Amino acid sequence: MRQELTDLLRAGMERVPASVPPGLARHAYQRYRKRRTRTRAAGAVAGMAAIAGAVVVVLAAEPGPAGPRTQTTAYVVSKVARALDAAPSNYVMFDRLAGLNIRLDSWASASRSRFEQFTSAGQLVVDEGFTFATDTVVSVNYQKKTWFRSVFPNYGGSSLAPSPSCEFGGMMVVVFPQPRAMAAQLRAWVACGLLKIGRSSVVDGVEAVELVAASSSGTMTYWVDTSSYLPVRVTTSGSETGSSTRQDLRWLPPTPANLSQLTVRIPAGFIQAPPPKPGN
Amino acid sequence: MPGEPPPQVVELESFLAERGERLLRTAILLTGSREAGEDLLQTALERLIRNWRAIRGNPEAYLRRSLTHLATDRWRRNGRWLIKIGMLRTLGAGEQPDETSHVDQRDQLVRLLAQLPSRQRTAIVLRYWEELNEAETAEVMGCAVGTVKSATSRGLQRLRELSGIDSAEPQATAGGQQR
Repeated sequence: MRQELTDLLRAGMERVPASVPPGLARHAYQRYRKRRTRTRAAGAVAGMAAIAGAVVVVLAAEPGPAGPRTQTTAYVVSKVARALDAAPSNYVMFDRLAGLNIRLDSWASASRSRFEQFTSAGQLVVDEGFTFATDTVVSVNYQKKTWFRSVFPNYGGSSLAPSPSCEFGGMMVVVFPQPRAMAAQLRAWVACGLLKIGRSSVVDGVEAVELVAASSSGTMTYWVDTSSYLPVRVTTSGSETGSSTRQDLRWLPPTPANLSQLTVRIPAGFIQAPPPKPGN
Repeated sequence: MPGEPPPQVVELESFLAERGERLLRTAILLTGSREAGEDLLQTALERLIRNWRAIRGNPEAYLRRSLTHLATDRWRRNGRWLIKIGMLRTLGAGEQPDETSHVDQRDQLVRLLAQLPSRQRTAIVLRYWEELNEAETAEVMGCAVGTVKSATSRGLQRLRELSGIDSAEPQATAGGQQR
């Protein structure tokens, strides 16, 4: 009966864990002050829109006293990393990479991942999926019209999700994005002091804040949804090679339709081929 | 933050020590996830600090109203898909809830809250978690009492359908004034 439903609902609400993180009021006060400072800076040059924009950006990127700046970056990254750690259980991640003369669409969940590689002209080249529990790979080559199935230990581990380090190259997360690998990398970068909070902007209708990692080899920027703390865009630009990539990420509900994107389909008429030897 | 925090922050910290957990739980229920709930509460606190001088002695009511409005704005901005996913996984099509466990049913109902439209979810959280009556709920939501009644009734009906709990029972008291 209705009473039972509402009683159960109330009891369920009571059980939701909710402990207020320490320093929440102080963080809110810091955000308020920062916003007020930016507003005043922008207001001071009202009527000079271009200059005002530059001032806001400079203020946002300006290195402040080490303590508060580090704490703020660490706080945001801890939220991002936590959201990424939890994401595989709650979402199907979709990632579209453009750049380097290819397009790569990939999907990842807690148990499986898959990518489709296209030429820059949009022609499908490879469709490949991986099941974590069994280390099984199924790969379809659309150019050769062949497919293979094989067991590749660590396929989704060390070989394609590099160990977190203080260094990075332009190709780092581009190859095979995994939410937990991203979380580990971001934690490592913030510990090295490599990561800084950049400006806020709107990415595909989502309010996002930039997390920027810069080194001599290039710059990598994460745009993080300020509501969910999940990345919605990742860009890289290599300072030496001049190459750049852009990944747009979407966090999809685990509906049957979205989960089916994790399955590789072998087209009729394609021939089974022997799997490549390790290292190829 | 260098130096001593200003008095309003100290006062706010002491208020949060007493009432923060309840407000955070409201925020989590409104948004569907712990991360989003914390962020929502922090944004509401920021708004409270900005208007501190205008608030006369009742930060809780102000925060509750801010949480409600911010959650609605967020829902509109992000679209339904982001909010729906939320705290925990929902039952898939064809799955049946575990009738033997009330614990499962309680948790399941909270998960299913995230599947309701914003207005229905807000009305249910205010009525059954914050324990506001219909007039108070209408004031916080900025709508008519009749809207609260229908949103609550439809929300409960939808929860009943989604959960499979007492689906055969009639809605004898839908829209009533019970607290």
